[in-house]
Amino acid sequence: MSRRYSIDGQDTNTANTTILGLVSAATIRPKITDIILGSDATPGDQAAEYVIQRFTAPGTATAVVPTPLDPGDPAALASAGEAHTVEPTYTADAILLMWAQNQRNTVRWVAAPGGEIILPATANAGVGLRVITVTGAANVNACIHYAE
Amino acid sequence: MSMRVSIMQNKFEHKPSGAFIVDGMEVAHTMQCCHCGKHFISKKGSGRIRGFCLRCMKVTCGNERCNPCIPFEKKMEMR
Repeated sequence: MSRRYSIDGQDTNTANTTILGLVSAATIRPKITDIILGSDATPGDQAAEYVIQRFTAPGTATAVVPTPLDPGDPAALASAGEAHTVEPTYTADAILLMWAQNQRNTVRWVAAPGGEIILPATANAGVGLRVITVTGAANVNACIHYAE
Repeated sequence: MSMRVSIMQNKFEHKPSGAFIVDGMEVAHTMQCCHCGKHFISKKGSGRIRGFCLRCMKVTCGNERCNPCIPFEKKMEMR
């Protein structure tokens, strides 16, 4: 049975920046089951477009340690990062999920059983929660649940 | 009002692969392409052409690269 973990991150949602990235490893295929995105900034009517996109190199980011949802589980094999200073190397057109939302909204995407977003069993490959366009940047917060 | 219009345009699927939830309410279902794993929202009258694989018996996203039947699992093994 898969072990489930949670990662969270935050960053200013300027265009073409990554808010949160999940990096796979050679021995696992992480499956994303839940994504939550909202903003803790002063409420404002700003719109932004977000995508979940595959990458082949994770770039440079502040490390995020996945937290087991079951405290009895061991440390995760996958890794994560937030507030990237060097953007991941994204695969063109490998967009797995896309949505637009108002800054005032908190949007949650949840996978149905069998509909999870699956990462390859390849070191340094993964997916990033990326901002494509935004009308006015604000700090946004993301949380991703995944199984490995 | 805009929320209500959005809900009416989105097609609620019989067997969705995922769902968007805003303020505790499902506002859209997503379907998953069986060849690339992409999730997309199906909208009636959008003009977007999607596909259906008769070998997988599942929908595809409509991208030309997903027309040949190479199941997503197979692609993951090839990476």
